[in-house]
Amino acid sequence: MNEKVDVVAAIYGGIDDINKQLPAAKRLTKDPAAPISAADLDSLNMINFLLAVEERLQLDSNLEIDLGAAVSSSGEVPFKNVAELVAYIRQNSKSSDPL
Amino acid sequence: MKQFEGLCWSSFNPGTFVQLLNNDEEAPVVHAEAGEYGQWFNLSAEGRDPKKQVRDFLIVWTMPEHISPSFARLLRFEPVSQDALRREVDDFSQMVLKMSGRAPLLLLPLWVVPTWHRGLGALDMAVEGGVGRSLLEMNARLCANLRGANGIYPLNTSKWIECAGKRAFQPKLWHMTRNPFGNDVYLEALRDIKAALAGSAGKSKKLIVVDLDETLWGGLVGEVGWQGLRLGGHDYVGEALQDFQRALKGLKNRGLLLAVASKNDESVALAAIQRHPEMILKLEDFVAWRINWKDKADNIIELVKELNLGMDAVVFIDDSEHERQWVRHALPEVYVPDWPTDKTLYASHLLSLRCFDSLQVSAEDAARTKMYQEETSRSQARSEDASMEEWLAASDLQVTVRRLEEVDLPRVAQLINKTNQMNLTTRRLSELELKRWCENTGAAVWSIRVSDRFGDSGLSGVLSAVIDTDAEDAVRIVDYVLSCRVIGRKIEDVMLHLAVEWARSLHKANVLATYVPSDRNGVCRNFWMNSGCAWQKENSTFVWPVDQTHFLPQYIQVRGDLPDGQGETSHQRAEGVRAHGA
Repeated sequence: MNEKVDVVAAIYGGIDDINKQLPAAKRLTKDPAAPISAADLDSLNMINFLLAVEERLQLDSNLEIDLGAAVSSSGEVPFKNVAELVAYIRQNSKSSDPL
Repeated sequence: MKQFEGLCWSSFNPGTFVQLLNNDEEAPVVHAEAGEYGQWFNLSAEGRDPKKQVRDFLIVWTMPEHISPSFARLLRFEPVSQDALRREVDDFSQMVLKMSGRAPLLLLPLWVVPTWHRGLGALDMAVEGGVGRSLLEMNARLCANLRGANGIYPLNTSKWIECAGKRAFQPKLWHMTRNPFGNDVYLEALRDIKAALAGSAGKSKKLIVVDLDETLWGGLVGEVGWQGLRLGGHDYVGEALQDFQRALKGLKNRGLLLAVASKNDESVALAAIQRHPEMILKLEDFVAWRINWKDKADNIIELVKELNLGMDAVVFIDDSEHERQWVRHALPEVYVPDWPTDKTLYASHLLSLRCFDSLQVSAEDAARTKMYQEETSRSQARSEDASMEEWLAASDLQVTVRRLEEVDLPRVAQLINKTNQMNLTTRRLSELELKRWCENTGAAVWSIRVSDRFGDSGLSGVLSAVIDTDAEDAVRIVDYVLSCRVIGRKIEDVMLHLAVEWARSLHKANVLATYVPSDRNGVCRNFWMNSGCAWQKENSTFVWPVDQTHFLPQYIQVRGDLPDGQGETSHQRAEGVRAHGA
């Protein structure tokens, strides 16, 4: 994957989006260590968050990734925080731009 | 403003929308519950819904293919009977009408189809089986079926879709969560819904105070004279400013009041308004102005006082960031929208504001500016007269009293919901709630119309009363509401007189009126304190013993549905009552 793609910015944009749905006490913080797990977001919110990130990556960086596939039927995801999500995206994405 | 509570029923998963609605930080605060999606139709079946009544509002948001099997087939390009489509819309309309009894307000986003569904392409609007054409007809039929139903408001979903653009429909969200729309659609929807709720509580704005230089026209009139102003002509900025004036005039036609607050020499600025041939707004379009070199916040305070409005009824529009910030700081209740620097955006920016949304429109709204101007004439005439009594006697004051009729319901509900000052209890309720309350309590409700030689103030007061459930020998006034336009013209006494006469006709001993204080209705308390009623401080209640006659002011002609059934009345009746009591 193109290392110049700003994955963190896309995730933080997704955090802005999902925070509009959450009460103040449950809002996610924009920090690499900020937790992202089924304990923090219910399955509806988790899907909304990941699809918002996915859309931003596609629109801003032409980066294709199916983040919906990361959510198990029980709502679990294979990352615990923002930094791990960044790593997950870098491992599982492909750029639609010719490099 | 109060918190609104409601329920959202939909044919898709409303979870995301409800979360956005509940956690949006703009006023008013809303708490909605999400109904079990796909089960919304249970609401219409008597006895199957555990939540019988919803406090403030019900949102019923459905997709057309979930409601109409024929439309679902149409989307698959199968042959469909138009009669079947219409029947299914009619069936849904009946369900909505039935459901509307569960909440004071029922908000109904109209049907849309995903923008990526192209229907029959160029044929789609031309032939009977077109998707777009059928949808247009279904929505029109639904609106027609619901026309006139109290408390039901179809909402223009297409507008939200247009605002959201390509992000409006999200197939992946649909397949993963049974939610068809992107968040941008919901954000537009919740803003409209919140504006509707605020409007239902009488919080829509009533007065637009506008600056002149660089706002109504281009340039500084004090520098360039009215002849040098940029307005109209073959100039895109001048034409845009005319469009802005047209937009303001349009809002005036809707019942908004326009006023000016400008730092200028008054004579110079007024000459520009009166003499510039390209001015769309004329002097008579403004209900008041403060054109001087004083602080604009002070000028707004004066305008609000002159017009007898609350500060929270005001929108202030000024091109100057400095003035906007100052007014925001000095008068936090005044709504000061951010304003574009590009003058070509003024009109669209004004018309996109939601703060004017109201759920009731009455004939009085359209005539509001004229009524305020008549009030100014009254004030000027009053200042020339020797006394208030003499002035009132000379003003040919006429009051028409009418028992509540269906045709008056919207204006009566509007008065109850919008009046803050001469309002005994400041209770708020929708048309439907008012109607239901009348049916359930057997209340008597009168509308009060006022006119004098200066003009017709229209339906300006509401009095409602019930037989008291605690003290059966008494009648209790529930709504005692009078528009600020007619306060102080002794209409207050006519309304109290009416209540006393109604109690007398029912052989009751007392009229009770319990005052509920608010931060704005001190003037109402003052009237009652000076009304001659006994004041029971312990329960905040005023008492008028019916064996004591309440005199009508001699110079007011009262006509209409009076409690003793005598019908028409006038000076003679007033004299008769006076003689009886004397």
